[in-house]
Amino acid sequence: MTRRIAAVVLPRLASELAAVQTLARDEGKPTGRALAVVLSEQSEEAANGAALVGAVDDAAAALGVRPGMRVSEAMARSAAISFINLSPHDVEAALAAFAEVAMMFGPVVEVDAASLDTIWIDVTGVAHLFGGEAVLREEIETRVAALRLSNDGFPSRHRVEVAIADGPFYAQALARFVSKHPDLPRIAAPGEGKRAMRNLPVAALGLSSDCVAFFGRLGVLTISDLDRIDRAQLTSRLESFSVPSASGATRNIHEVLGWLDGRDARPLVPFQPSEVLVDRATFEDGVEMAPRLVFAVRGLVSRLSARLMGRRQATNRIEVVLAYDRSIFALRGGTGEASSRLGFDLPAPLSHVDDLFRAVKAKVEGLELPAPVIRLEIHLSRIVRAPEVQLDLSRDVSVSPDALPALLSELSAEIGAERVGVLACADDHRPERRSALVGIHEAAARRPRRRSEGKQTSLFEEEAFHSEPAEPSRILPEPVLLTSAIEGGRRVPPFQPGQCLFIGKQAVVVDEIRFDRRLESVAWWTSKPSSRDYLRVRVRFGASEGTSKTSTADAWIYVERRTGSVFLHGWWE
Amino acid sequence: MSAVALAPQLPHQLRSAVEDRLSEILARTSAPADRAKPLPLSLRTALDVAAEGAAAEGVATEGLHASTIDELLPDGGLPRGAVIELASPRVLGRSTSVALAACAAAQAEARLRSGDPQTVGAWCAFVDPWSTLHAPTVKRSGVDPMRLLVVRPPLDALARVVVRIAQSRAFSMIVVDLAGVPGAEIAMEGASSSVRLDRWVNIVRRIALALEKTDSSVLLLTDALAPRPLPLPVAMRLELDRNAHDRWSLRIAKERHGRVGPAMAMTAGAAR
Repeated sequence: MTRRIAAVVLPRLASELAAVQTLARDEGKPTGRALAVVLSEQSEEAANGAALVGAVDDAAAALGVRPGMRVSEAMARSAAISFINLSPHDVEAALAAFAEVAMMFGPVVEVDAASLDTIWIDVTGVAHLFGGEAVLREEIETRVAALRLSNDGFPSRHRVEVAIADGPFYAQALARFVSKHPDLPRIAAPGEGKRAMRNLPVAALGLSSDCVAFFGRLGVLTISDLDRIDRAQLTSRLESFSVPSASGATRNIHEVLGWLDGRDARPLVPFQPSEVLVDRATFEDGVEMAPRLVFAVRGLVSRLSARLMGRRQATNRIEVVLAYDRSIFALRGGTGEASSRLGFDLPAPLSHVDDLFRAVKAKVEGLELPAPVIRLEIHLSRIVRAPEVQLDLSRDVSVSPDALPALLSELSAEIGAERVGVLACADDHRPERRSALVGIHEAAARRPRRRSEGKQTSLFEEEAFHSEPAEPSRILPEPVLLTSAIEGGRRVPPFQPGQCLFIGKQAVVVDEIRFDRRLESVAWWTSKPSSRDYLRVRVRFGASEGTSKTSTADAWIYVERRTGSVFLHGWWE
Repeated sequence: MSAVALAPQLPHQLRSAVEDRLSEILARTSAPADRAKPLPLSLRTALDVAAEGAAAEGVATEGLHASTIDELLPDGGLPRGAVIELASPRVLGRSTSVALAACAAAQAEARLRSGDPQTVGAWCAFVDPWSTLHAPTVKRSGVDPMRLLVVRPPLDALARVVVRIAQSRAFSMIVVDLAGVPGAEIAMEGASSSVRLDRWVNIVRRIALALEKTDSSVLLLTDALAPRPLPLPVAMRLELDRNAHDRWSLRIAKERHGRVGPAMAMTAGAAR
């Protein structure tokens, strides 16, 4: 099978990042000035006239500014250009985010760390899954372009060019030059890479500007012109220029000659995505209201979700970090660090944007902010393989079990994971400890998938269950001490029919008492062993407001044998 | 006998119930015009099977005969895609047993659809703000506790949580306890004994909207004695009461087609 590589070129990525920075600095109001970007780790490098321009936006390009120019040269072209300093690491991190989205289209993805504008995807044998290479190319372009870098919806769409060819160089060259050469194909058929390149300028080979100028003086303007030169002569000429590329890296001369001969076999270097996904938003003015924070959360979660889904992964832990305005935090009496971190585990791994958003929103929207938030970060710190749901043809269409993980996460975030789960029977003689709420995944892990695979292990011991007498359906979390109306004191006994008892402020009359069971020295090794006589007591409630009827019910009451106190423990309901 | 071949490993006590329900389901699927109208949820299958199974194993059971309840209900079961109110004085009229039976029936029906009793049933939810539902009884009611999501929200988040659960469409049956049993508020230290039903009128409307065109149902367990300036806009209101030992009554106080009537006597199951 012929190798097929897709090149995703973001020609304006650096300038788009710079525009986002400028927008944040200017309080969201675009200045309309042309942008030139200086790629440097030193923050003041853009003020240095000798520094090189690394990238430009369309407006700067229209003014004649090109990457590779000195800043002073660019200034001489026009005074209406803003020079922005950008760290190459920021550009690489942004490119990595795009690469994570691109991972959904092929098994191997490479990021071009030298040019900082290209991602390659090995799409060999996958095009038919998308309906052909043309559809695949459009899908890649749409998905990558939709990953917005800022929370303000800017840019609304990234400039992206995607081309598919037999090798990484052919695909990259086609993607880079297709906007300038409308007749250039975006997809080079298998074996037709060299043919598709023939009308491209020599500069498309990535040779140094001196080398390109030299060939230009000789009248060698296109790759087909270069291809007609005798290989021995061409090799010596290329060697004399040492073939440094425009980006500074030295081109392998055999690689360049291979491209001219129709060979582009360089293997891709797999991109290694980070183990923790982080995205952040900064606010120049600070955010005081939680609803506006929720709006920012939506943007962050949207990007994180796209990256997760590209990696075919999901997260089961989310951390939200809020950094506050230090001065206002201190003025309002805040102590310690002017930041807070909310971390919560998700009962099920999530990756879809709506599911993630609901989980985070439930946590964030009720926050009381001690000071304006100037930075919001979301960390997805526990990344796992995304669960895949099998297509179930017999499922009832009106019930959607796939919605359960998202619901669990949302409820856990809102009311706490300890309040959501399934009931499990614990092996204990004390009724109040025989029922426990456990997480769904914990419970599922302790239960065999099918009964035929073996006896149930610990959650519910069938034999023990059937040997136990029936218990009430409602058990109070804590037994309630009953008091007597007549004695007005703490102790009720002698406990007999006709007696009036108080459950809190509610009076009931005892109609019938039947002995149910006895617990003798349960948990004798503790300081408070339980010795109880359980009684099934039919009680009568008096008529209440608006009705003359009385009603009866079966209460589960026990007498603490050590003290003689009487407790209500449950209801047969 | 139904035309459907039942799985040979199906327990004896399930067979007749399975045959009846399968016949109904097949009749439904073979008449496309009727598909839009969901069958009512019959409690008989779940409750009687649970009682028979328990009796066969020598376990004493409590409860009402579900077949009796089915017979008293206008369509032979609980309506689907609707909010049903189950009111009883102080929530002590066996409404918990009926609610668990409804969950068991919903789970059993999913197993019947697959024809394999080993298949896990449908998901149900029980919203229990007072944390009083007891696991052994849930199991004894024929409910698979591993498919019953129990949520114990604080009372101030109860409405929000219930609406969200209904909107998720992940559950066949959702039970919401709106009034704690006597003593629950003392055990919970400061929690109210019931929610204010006047605030639930709009919430019930939202839940009903979420249930539209689904087969899911929501059962609200309420205190029949609680003050309510307006009745809840539910599709059906059932009132369970116990006047004396083993004298239970069921009254259909509200039904969307107006089929209401006086209280009807029911018999309780075998008592210990």
